[in-house]
Amino acid sequence: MHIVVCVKHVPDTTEIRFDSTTGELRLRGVPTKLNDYDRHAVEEGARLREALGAKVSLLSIGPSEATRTLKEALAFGADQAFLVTAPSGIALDPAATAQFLVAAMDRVGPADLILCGDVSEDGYNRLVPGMLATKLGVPFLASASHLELDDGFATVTSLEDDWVEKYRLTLPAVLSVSRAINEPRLVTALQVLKVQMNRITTISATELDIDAPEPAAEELATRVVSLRPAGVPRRNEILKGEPDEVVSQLITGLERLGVLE
Amino acid sequence: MLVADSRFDLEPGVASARSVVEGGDVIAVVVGRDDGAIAAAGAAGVERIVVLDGPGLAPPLPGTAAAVLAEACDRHEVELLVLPAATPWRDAASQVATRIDGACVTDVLELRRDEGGTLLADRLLYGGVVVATVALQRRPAVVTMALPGPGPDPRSSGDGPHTVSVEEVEIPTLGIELLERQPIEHQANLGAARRIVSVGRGLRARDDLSMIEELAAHLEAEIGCSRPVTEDFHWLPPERQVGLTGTTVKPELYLAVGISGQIQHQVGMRESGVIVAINSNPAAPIFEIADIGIVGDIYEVIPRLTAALASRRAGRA
Repeated sequence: MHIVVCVKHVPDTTEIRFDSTTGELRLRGVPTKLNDYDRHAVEEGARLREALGAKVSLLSIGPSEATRTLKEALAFGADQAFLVTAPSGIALDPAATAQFLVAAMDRVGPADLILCGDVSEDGYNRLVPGMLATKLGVPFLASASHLELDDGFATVTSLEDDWVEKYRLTLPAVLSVSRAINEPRLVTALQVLKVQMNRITTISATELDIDAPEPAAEELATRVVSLRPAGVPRRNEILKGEPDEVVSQLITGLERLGVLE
Repeated sequence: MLVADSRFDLEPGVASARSVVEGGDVIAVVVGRDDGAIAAAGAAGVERIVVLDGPGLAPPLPGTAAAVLAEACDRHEVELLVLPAATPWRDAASQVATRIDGACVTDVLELRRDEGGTLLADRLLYGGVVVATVALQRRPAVVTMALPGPGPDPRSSGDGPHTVSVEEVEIPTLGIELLERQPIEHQANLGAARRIVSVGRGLRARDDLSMIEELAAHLEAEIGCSRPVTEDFHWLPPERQVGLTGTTVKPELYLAVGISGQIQHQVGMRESGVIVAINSNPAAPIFEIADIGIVGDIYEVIPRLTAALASRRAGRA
């Protein structure tokens, strides 16, 4: 049993601000991390490794700093990790990311199960897992909240907006997991430090069997062309002081705004 | 082409499609013989309704919907496919786009074309800090879009002449079998609420929810919450969660109690009419998007607010 867990190294979106004076996103100095949703996929992989003796490989695509994220994920309990270093200066779109991951599977080796997090915190596209499965021609299920493996099949509970569903998928398959699937373990800084760097294999995109390993932005299926701050301007009236006083000011304010009728 | 679903008012989807596709018909596609979806499509003012029919399509298995939609896109030479940003369509989008080698953008806020005719889609990025404009550089285009729930009265204005045709489709074998399916009982429909009192990490104990319930009762408001209250503490069910991973709400009044206002929460409520925030931390980001903010202890403010609303009502009665 070979399980591949896809992980993404992401900026901490809670630390990102839009600078309205420069009209640019402040990304420099923003801390980076293992995508929260992928943390649950890594945990599920570690549990299956412990329970079934499965071999677990981690796969990521990103900048060379993503080795930090892979080291942390290896500390959960995985055998090896692969980092496809993205061509510099190009933001791959989800379709290209899926294509690069599929090509990298040649190096990682055939998988019985590929686990991903449901979404990434930065892009929130919710596209790569389904694209990966479709390109590989294997079954795909999203929002997995419970998983059992048995004799060539995965029995999966999927928790979606209006339904709880239980499916049986023929392996190999791709699953994206919801955060309800498990409680990820805490790994210590020391455990991460102890992970040997030689367990991470770095693959340059140009080494992959891809027609255009360094696509121009115009050649991608989708491309971000501009950014602007989100949200609407607000009154920002701040009340401070004695509770009775601020409550009375609040009620007056709400009456004035006409929302208490 | 727009995927029809009886849970939604499809008109905004039809309007978006019309705004960027010149001279073509808008086709509503119904997966499986779903009368509710056919009615919803008819009310949305499309020229044609195409029903894809085959065994096991109502409801379709994950993957199956994508396969039959991809074939329908080919058959009808579809330029743009719009799917509701909800289960099961949300997860079909990636698969349809890959099958037809199209460009895919999810959770689209608005569609338009640039001067050169390239299709552009606005969507949130980086957890909702910014709106990104994304160019769809390949055809066909596949987008998902949040649609409102159906109105109380069936829309009649758009119910113009349209044709309905049924197309028999082959159901591929995809290695997925449904074992069980159960509806989730939802207690609340925050999306339709006029007023919402939402509670966050500032609440110290589950029992203190009674304080919030009392305030909500006096305001005739629904109760919402931020992510920790559902995912970490399990004090309220998931359908009450407001934010990126929960519901997006747009009430006339949104009262955030003890919510710091991480961007993930803001995304779900910042389009509200009036936003009020009560938080003991003056640096909480929620104050940046509030119309009125109270810096104070919620345990001192909330009971007084409830009492003041009660006496206000008594005074008017």
